[in-house]
Amino acid sequence: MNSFKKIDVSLRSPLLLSILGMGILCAGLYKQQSQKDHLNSTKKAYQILQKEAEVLEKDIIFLTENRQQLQFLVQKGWLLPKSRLLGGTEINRWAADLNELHFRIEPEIIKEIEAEYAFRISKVMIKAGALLDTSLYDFAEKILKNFPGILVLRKLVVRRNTLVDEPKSQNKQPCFVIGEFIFDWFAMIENKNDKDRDF
Amino acid sequence: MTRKFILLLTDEEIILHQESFKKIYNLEEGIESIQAKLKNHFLRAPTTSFVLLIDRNQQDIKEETLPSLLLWDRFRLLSHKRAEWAKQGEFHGNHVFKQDGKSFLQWVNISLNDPVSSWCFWIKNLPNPSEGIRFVSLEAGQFLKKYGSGADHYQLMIYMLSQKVRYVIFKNKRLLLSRFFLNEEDLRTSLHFLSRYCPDIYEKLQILSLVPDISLTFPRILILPDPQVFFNFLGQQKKGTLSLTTNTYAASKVLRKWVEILFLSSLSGAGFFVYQIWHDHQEAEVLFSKIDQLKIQIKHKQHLINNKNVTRLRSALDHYRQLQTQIRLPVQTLEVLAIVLDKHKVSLESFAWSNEKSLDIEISFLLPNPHENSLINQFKRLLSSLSEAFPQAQIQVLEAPFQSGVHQTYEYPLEELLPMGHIRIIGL
Repeated sequence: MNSFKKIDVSLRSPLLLSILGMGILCAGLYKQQSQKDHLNSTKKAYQILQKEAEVLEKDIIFLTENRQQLQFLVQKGWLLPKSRLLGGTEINRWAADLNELHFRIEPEIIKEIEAEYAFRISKVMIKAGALLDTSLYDFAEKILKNFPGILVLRKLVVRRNTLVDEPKSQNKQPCFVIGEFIFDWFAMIENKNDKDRDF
Repeated sequence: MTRKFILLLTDEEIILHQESFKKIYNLEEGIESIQAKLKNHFLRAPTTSFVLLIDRNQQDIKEETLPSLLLWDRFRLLSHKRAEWAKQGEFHGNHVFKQDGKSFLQWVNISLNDPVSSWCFWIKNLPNPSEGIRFVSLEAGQFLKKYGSGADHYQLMIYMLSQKVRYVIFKNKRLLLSRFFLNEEDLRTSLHFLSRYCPDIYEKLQILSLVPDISLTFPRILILPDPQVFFNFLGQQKKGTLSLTTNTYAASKVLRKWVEILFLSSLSGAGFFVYQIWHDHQEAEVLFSKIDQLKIQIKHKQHLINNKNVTRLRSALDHYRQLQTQIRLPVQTLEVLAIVLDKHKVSLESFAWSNEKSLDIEISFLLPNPHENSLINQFKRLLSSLSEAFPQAQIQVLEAPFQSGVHQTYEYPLEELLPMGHIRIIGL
């Protein structure tokens, strides 16, 4: 329809007021939005910290509840790489009652027990001779207790020695009983990528 | 009749109507003087609305056929036309309609030197709300729709709103002619003129007369007894066919009010936002204090954990627990076996315990009595005791103590040496 070229003078001030009002409204909206963003980021930070605190709380509960077992594992060297020299020293250390001792630690293999658990396993094969079979059992018990790492006995053979030689020296006693032990020396793999890592 | 003011502007006079009130002002009196008088009337009822009706001899309504154009091109054409009209004067209006498959543009353009223009400016400054400026000849088309005959006919309406009788001729929505009525002969001359481009006008012409005093010799004439019906119709119309609406003082007032409402709404909106900002700020402050507390707690807990790699420890413990399920020791088996062997006075030669795929033992032993008959019984009793001691296991005799195998020397009576047996017990 028709259009006015000039704005009516009486309308100028209300128009200016409405423009001012709209300006205030826009500024308020902008400020409110930025404040809201700030609040949201603060909420997010608070949630992250809450989660972190929860995780730490769970960790503390875990450490408290499993303190003894964890100490045992730390003492046994479950968390450290295996040292064969140390293992050999331990075997020799507890073999005082044995008249003969021969042992072999085979190369390490990786074995999965169930899908989630993979271990590094070294086979430890010990052949020992003693006067009495009780010495062999004592030896086995001490080794199981004191060996660095976790040993699992896989095979135990105790047999009478049919070929008893005369002792070659006075210090050496005859071996009436021969014992053969096969242990699996276990070490943990934290995750499957560790399989390729060599100690 | 409505309460509103109706101003009827003709070539000679301007007539003010309000309900039964009617005042005629001769234009010769001078426009300014009339306007001053009229303003007094209007100011007495400033909230009463008004409408300006224009009914003059000048052909205010113009019409042209629009070419068939795409929507955008038509929009551009109309905008160019509006710009052209705007150059000539402030007041113009138009509308487009379709008829007989063609588009027609009807428009009004009041130039600045037109006396109507001064009336348009005058009503702009009136405090009363305006319902617009309408053209009687066009509104007659609306009236004919309601009171006339079929749409396919030419319609002629004779009316008298002021001192002079006028008539309009329509073909549907198209206004063909609007002029004073002098006599039938003059009307026939007009029809003759129109018949040049509307040859069927004589056959299809319908006449509606609002002036009973005029007698015509045309065949199809309808005379409405009440001559006021057309004026009442104009007064009651809410929207004109084509009106020049003007932004009057009252409209400005309404607009101003709306602007104020808008401003106040903006202010209240801004107030709401200020409250929201304050609320969010308070909430953020509370969260900040909580975050500080949490940070202290976390620091304390981290101190308690003492940089231990708990994930690694968890994994280590899980692995160890899993391994624990694999660990078995021969002590218990040996104890059970020792009881059985003691019972039968059997001396053990060798003992092999294996925990590979299944838990098995293999033993070699010497039976105490070498005599054959009792040897069989002894061996049977030993086997029976072993199966009682290890009920779930399978007992396999690898070598019986009788020296009866094909690879062995069998003699009777047996040598004084104690006979040796060899047994495997599988799946303990």
